[in-house]
Amino acid sequence: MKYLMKVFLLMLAMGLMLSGGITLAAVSAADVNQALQALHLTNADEIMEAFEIGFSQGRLQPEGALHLVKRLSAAEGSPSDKEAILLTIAHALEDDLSVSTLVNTVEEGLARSVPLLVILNGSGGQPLILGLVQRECLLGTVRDLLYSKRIFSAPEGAQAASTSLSLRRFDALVTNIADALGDYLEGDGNPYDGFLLYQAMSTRLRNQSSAESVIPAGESIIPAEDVDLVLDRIEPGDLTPTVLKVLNQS
Amino acid sequence: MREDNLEETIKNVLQREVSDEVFHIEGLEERIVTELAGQLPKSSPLEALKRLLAPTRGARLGQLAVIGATAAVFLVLGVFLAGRLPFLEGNPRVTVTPSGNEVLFIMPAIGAQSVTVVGSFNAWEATPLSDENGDGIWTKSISLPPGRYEYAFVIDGRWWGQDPLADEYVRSFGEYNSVRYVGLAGDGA
Repeated sequence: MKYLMKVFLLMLAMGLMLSGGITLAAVSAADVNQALQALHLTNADEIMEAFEIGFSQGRLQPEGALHLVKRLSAAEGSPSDKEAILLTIAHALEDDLSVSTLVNTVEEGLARSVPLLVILNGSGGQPLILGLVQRECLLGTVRDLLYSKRIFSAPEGAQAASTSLSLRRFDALVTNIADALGDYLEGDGNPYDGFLLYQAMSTRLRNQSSAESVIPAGESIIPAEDVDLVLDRIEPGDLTPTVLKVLNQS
Repeated sequence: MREDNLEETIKNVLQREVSDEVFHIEGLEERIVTELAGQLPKSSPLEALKRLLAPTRGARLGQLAVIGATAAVFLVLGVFLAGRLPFLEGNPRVTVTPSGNEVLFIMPAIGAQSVTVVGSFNAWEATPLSDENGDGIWTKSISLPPGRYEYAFVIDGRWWGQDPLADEYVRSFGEYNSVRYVGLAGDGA
């Protein structure tokens, strides 16, 4: 009988491990919605609608969104600041922007126990801190800059023009250029020095493209041809007006 | 049936054969086996399973077979479900990472109680480093897909973002973060 029990316990353990693994992996939009509703936000439905756009585009994963909402829920700070953070990410998704940088900024800020208002609005002092609002603005201005240089994104299979990239490749360009310019500013870089801004951008893109030809699930790999396209069309003089739009908002 | 019972049964059959004067070698074996079969206890399925699981050499093989078969059934079921259930599609937890690169994080921290690494690869949640031999060199190898990763070490609760092995450094929230580019050749720029 003892042996019978042992075998049944083994079977039970294996069954639990298997079902546990499946359960852990199965984060759905409904789970994210449930976590959002638990925060008692005024605009929970609007945030969820935007998140669902992100899920469908692959710009946001339910697992990542759930992690963010739960971490935000556990953080110290007012509910209105938490809502403002989530609304900023939601607006970025509604504005057709990639949000990986924004989510990463919030996760890092929360891990560092940075006050929610600083995560949201940054700090104009020394050192300069770009918050979520400035990072979102930077993404938008970089996206607009690429548009002005006739570099677009188009649906998969509909890239008739050579400068129409897939959404993932276009997002990778926007994200990395905006990140590079933002990091340059946070590192006390001079916004009026277009050549240094250009150097920061090109170094970032070249480093990223060194890992090309392997396409992971993320959006950080940039083909060398995309880097050449950007460096060919964007000039140092284009970058100062781009970052000044952000700094003027601070 | 025990061994002494077996011998007793065979002796009885032989004695009967002799007393009945029907003894001859031909068919003797068959008659003994028939007699033995008649004396075997009739067992229920549960008792048969219990015998299979009894601690004899043969039964232990049976146990292993049962456990193995159960594990195989669960594995096949798991693989089948993972591939079929719609909510698992595209979920990074069940997606095999292509060409993961082992990235070694090293931080000398003599006398430290805990050292962790936080970064964009783990949603800034602490991944502990270990110092197995107590020499103050804390290490952790993490498999990462190609890309750019910002990170910092946390030594006894204090952040340290200037890893000497980093490819570059950036400022974030007024503090330094280390950066590594992970590519095809493995760790590094």
